[in-house]
Amino acid sequence: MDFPKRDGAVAGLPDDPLVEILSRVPVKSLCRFKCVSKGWRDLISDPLHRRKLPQTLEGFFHGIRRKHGEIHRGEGGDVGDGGCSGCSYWFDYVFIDMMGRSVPLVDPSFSFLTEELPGLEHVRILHSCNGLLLLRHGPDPYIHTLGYVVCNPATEEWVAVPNSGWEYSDPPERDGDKDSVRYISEYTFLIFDPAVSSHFRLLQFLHKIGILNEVGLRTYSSETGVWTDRSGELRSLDQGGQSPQLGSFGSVSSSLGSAFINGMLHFIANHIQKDQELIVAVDWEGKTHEVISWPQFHGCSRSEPAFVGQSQGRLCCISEHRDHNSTQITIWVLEDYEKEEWIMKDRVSSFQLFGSVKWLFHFDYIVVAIHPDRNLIFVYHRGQKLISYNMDNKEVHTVSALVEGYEWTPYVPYLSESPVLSKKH
Amino acid sequence: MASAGSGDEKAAAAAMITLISSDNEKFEVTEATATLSQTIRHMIEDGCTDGGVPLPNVTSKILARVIEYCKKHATAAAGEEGSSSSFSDAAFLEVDRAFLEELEEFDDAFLEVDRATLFDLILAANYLDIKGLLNLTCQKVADSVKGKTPEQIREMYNIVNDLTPEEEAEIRRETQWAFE
Repeated sequence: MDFPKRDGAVAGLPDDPLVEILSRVPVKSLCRFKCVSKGWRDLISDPLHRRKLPQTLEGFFHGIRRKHGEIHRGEGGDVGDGGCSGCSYWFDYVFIDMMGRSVPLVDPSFSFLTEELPGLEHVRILHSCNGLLLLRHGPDPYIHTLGYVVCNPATEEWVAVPNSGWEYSDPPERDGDKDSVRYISEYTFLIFDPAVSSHFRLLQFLHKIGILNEVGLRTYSSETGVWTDRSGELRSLDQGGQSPQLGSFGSVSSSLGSAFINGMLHFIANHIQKDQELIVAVDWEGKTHEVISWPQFHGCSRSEPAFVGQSQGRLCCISEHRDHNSTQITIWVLEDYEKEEWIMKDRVSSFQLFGSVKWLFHFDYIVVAIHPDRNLIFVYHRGQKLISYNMDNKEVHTVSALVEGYEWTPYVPYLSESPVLSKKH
Repeated sequence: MASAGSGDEKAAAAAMITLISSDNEKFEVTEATATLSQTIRHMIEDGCTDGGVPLPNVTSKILARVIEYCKKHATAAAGEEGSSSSFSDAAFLEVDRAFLEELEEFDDAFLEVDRATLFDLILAANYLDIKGLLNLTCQKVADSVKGKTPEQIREMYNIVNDLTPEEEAEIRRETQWAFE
């Protein structure tokens, strides 16, 4: 068998096997290896090989909230989801490209979708996982009957996912209403790991009114194409089983990030009885496998969880600490997952980040992301800009000066086509 | 394995395939062993294995190693099928675990070869399309290069840096973070 020989690549090893090897090294090593020789540079940059090689954070989908009847300006995004029952809004997305490409990497208007689905004008990004995005249709936050779309913006492939079967109902007016167990809000997560399966899963957590710490759960698998209600089976496990249901802890805080690591989805949940924040790890069936305590930072009276994510294969979290006259954040990494050993990687004050001593209100800033391959965090200073903070050299950089802002979805491309996403623009 | 002796396996064991290395050495293997290679599996399906399968890219030395790997892993595959279909009690899970550990030890020992042999095994696994072997050998090389600097890679593989200083500076600028 004849292999094309390339000057400068490894002697005795053709391109295909070398790409197989390079697909198994961390992205940071891979980027460095471009400097080995012309042969290595060309091999790693080749578009055909790129889709097999590991990718890193390329930028952010940035959602700007629009209201019906409103000109495209001035919406600061200070109204939370569900805080404006009755009025409808939608999101316009832009892509903040960290590499500063002249040709956009992805189409943030999702025209490859909206042109093909009749009546679909707007989409909303709910979650992203390893290059795929979970989207919801429609302009109104409470119309869920249309279901979901899972798409790969790099290949412009997508597939529709039906509604899970639950319907939104307005909160009842008095306690003890017979409808008081009807669901009121949902948090839906996407799980996708191409190293394990080409199929994706959805986990839909439903908070019920009346019983604040009760969480319902439905899961979807692209393999079977059906939703399964798992609320009941989890309840039985609660009685002495090894996998207690999330409902015994409290509510999901999906706006504070999530991490898919060790085959499990991690997110922050509030333990209502203990008034304590926890990190909960669930598998794709929603079974709870780990409950990880939030790291304790001594020497500061008030600590709040600000973010959970993953970097360099480890679970990370960010805490916020407020004293009477200043705010600082601490960045933690779970060095030993089994032993639950949190190591404080860094601490940084609001003065270092924003040049101001105080930031008294929780909603003045949001931690947007932890870089998956670098010691870098991204923070959005509301009404100002998106900044990055480098834990190694303590440098702060402006990533984007967009003042309008509501949602930021970090994006690591997945460049391979998939038979699971059956529709292609 | 406890499951050995089922009808299917006997049939598979009966069918023998002859593999012929580049230096014309003949190796008789069971179909179960040979079909770990997708390339050979397709040849069997197409009925073109009568009179032996010539493998002009694989030397007898490497083919012997590849067959050693396939034999071990074909047994493992047969064991897994047997246990998952009919047994689930603790004793069999114990046997399974012991067997998996043994397989891991086998893989580790299998990888104790010089670099030239490792590359030849990668080429053979790639050509014969043996997923497990390709994964095992590529991971071994990936583990040995990850975290290294470009200089170390050049040294390891006797590569001459033919990038101009300007080209190298440009790559370093674009991927500055990777050198931090």
